[in-house]
Amino acid sequence: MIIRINNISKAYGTINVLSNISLEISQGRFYTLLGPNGSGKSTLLRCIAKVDSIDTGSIKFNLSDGPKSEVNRHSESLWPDVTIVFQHFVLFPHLNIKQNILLPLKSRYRENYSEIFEKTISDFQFEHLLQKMPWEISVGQRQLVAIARAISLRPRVLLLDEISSALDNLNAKKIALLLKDAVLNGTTIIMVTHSINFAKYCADEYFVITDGSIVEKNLIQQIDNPKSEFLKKSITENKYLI
Amino acid sequence: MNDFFQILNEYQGVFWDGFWVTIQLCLIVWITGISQGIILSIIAYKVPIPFFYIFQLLTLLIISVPFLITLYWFYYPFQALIGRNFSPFVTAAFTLSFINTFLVYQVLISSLRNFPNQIADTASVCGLSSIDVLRKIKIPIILRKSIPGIVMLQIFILQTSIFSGAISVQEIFKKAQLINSEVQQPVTIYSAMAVFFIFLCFPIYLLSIYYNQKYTKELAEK
Repeated sequence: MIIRINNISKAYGTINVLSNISLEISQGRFYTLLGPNGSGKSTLLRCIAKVDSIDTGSIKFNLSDGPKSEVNRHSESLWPDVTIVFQHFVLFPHLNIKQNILLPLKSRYRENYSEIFEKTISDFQFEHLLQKMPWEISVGQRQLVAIARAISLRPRVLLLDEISSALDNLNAKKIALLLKDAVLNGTTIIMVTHSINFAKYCADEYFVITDGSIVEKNLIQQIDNPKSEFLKKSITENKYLI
Repeated sequence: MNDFFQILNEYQGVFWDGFWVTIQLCLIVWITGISQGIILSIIAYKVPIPFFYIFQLLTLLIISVPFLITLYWFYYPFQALIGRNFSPFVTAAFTLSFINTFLVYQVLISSLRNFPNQIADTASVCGLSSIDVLRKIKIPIILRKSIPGIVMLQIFILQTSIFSGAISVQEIFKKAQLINSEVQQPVTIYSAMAVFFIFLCFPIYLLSIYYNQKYTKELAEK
């Protein structure tokens, strides 16, 4: 078990966003988090990433068998062993694409960052973007760069917040393959998405969250036999298209 | 045209004296105003919200008063109150710095308070230390957002400095008035003044517009 989420709750003022959520996340698995808008998916992800705090409960990580010696990690922080790709403001606007990837890479790997950088660029095939500024490329390309940057950091846990929203089919497929590859190398992924097709293509397991509570969890193969009202409705109405 | 060069030649020493006083005044005001504005905005950013509102209120009150009134107030009542006399130059430098501080503060505090936290969060989750987040992400972005506004303010300060002639600071406009009282050629003299300020301000305006366009694009998240 790499993450144990025990009975966590979070409220913004008087509005409960997360209510008594408990989950166990295994290492090297790909999880997808589904749910309607405003159900608490992104908040849950931000809480797991320790970007937001929780009001009650606990989130425990077991990262003890990680490759500590070769990386530079801040002792007080889980980052970037646990990292998140947000939906918006994903790149540093004042740096070009090359600098966007290299800055965190140099901070994590003092020695062999150039090899990792070269491999990332070749895997994602965006040599042509390196000298461009974030505002010169499309939203989908920005998301690709942010995902590439996150994967290049070789995190133990990678959290993805609606990354497929701006990707075309071709890029979505490319990303899915690269994410699956990361999972094969031991990374655990939790991804928020609105695309059931994308989830089916990538994930091993899924959770459904509505009104801040987990209402369904199962293997991805079972997604066509849903238990929750939300998923039943979504599948019958074919609401989700990639 | 001949008159123009003749006057310029005849009074070049006087013009240079005025130009030098204006430059000295502006350099003092730019340096102190910008540094104090930075310090003030950092303090206002760190203090609890009620104190921040006090800073905001104070700024609004200060910038609501016309410069000449503030200048006269510091020259006469203020010095009478504290029982000391300062030279017109010191008084003008102090007043302009005081106003510049609050104007720079206003630009910077807006960039600081509207900084998109998700950019800083992204840097943190990528493993950058809090010092690196500040040094390599926050400060460069805030500077890029603020520089065009601050550059424009410094032009405003340069132009406002001509009012310090009202308390007998011998800056360039005051010198031009003195020359005009001797030669009685207002068209030539004040045209020369206009050309002088255009030459001084135009490149700074262009620089500000360039930075504004460059950084607005750079910082846009569509």
